[in-house]
Amino acid sequence: MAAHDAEFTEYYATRAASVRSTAYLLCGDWHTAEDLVQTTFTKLYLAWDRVHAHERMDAYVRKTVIRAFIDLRRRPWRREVPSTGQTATGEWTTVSAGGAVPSGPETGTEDRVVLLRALAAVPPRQRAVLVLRYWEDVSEAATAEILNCSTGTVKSQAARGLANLRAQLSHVEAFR
Amino acid sequence: MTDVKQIFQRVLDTPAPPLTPAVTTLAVARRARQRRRTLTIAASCGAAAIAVAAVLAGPVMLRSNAGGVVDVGDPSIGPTVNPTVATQPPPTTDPTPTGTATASPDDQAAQHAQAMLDLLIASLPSGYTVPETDTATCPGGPCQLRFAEASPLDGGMYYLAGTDVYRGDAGSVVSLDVYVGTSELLPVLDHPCDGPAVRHQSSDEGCQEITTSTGAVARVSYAPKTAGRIYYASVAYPGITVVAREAPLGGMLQLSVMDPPVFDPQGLAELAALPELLP
Repeated sequence: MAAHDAEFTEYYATRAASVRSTAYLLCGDWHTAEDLVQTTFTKLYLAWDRVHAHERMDAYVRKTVIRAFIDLRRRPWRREVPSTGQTATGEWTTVSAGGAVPSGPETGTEDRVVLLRALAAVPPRQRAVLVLRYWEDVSEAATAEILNCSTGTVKSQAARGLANLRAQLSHVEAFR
Repeated sequence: MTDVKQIFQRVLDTPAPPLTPAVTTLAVARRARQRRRTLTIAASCGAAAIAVAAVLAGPVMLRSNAGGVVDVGDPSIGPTVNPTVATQPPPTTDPTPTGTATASPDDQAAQHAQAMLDLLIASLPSGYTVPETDTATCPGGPCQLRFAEASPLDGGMYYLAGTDVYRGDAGSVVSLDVYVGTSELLPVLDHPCDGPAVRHQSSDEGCQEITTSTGAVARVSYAPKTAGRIYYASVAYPGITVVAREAPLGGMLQLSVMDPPVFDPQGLAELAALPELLP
């Protein structure tokens, strides 16, 4: 195995689970999250020399997974039915761009389903901002760069996203 | 905003399926690199061929069906491509299929995407309907029922057109993707099943090589899903890949899965091979 491949494999082993968690928060479906991880790491591999030399690897991966998610949302198969063999919870990538509440079988705790549905109701770009800012702890400036928008837009999207999330959870005692 | 972080942590507080092994991911990435190298060579050859063909080919008039409702006839006719469509002339590479001499490149691209949608609707077998509007209000919010878009992608162009298709209480979404000079291109192979499926096809099963009425060989396969299969038919030309796809609709419209699908394998292959889809 070339040094390049060994480094890539090592990086994947250390980071893939974390990247998949981020992807899952974005899309709410393990299968789609796995697809986003594969897309992200394939792009990383193709850009390895450039990224390895000039950019922080984690920042590149974060940017790629977010953009892959947003790109996925634009495509027509975003409304297709979910895949087989996955944990069937909150599969909101299978519904409309409007962020419809997921349908289908549900497993897991009731609270978790409530949270998944609340998150599903937050529009995708607002959700991406929330995940970047409050899960990945990315700065406003870096979030703006990833989403190709201004810091003002990041602030407003974050505020709207939080408001939407809270509105969805307002009827749930535990999250008031 | 620790409360938000706590919400995220609780969302993730569930057993996750096993990750794809590193060696598998590495193999996928290597194939992608190999494909990029192959396509770089193919695209340069293809661009020259297209330029020559564009000079030789005459304008192709595309049929338009902007009315939005497909003939509702006898469903027993079955899922075959409209014969008038399936017997189109061999591929041409007219650079301005529906545009005018004064249309900007953006306008021409948008017109081509719209022409693809019109062609797709015209290609549907009888017995099916399509939505009359592009969007609708679904139970969970707005949803897009049909679409025609063109956008730059990876230094090339990506054309996309699709529509929901209904029959009784069943629904599918049928769409067409045309990639011109992008990283999504498939290699031109005598036996396309020996090569990869389109990148976004998460799994690839039952691959068939189907010779279409234009002579093009389509790669037809499917990805299994919970409620049915997503069928893919792709035709690769130098520098251009066309993909026709039929998928079950999600549950938001409370539609059941179309069985049998709108297009059988031959029909989907014929759709992907329509020469008018080439920009």
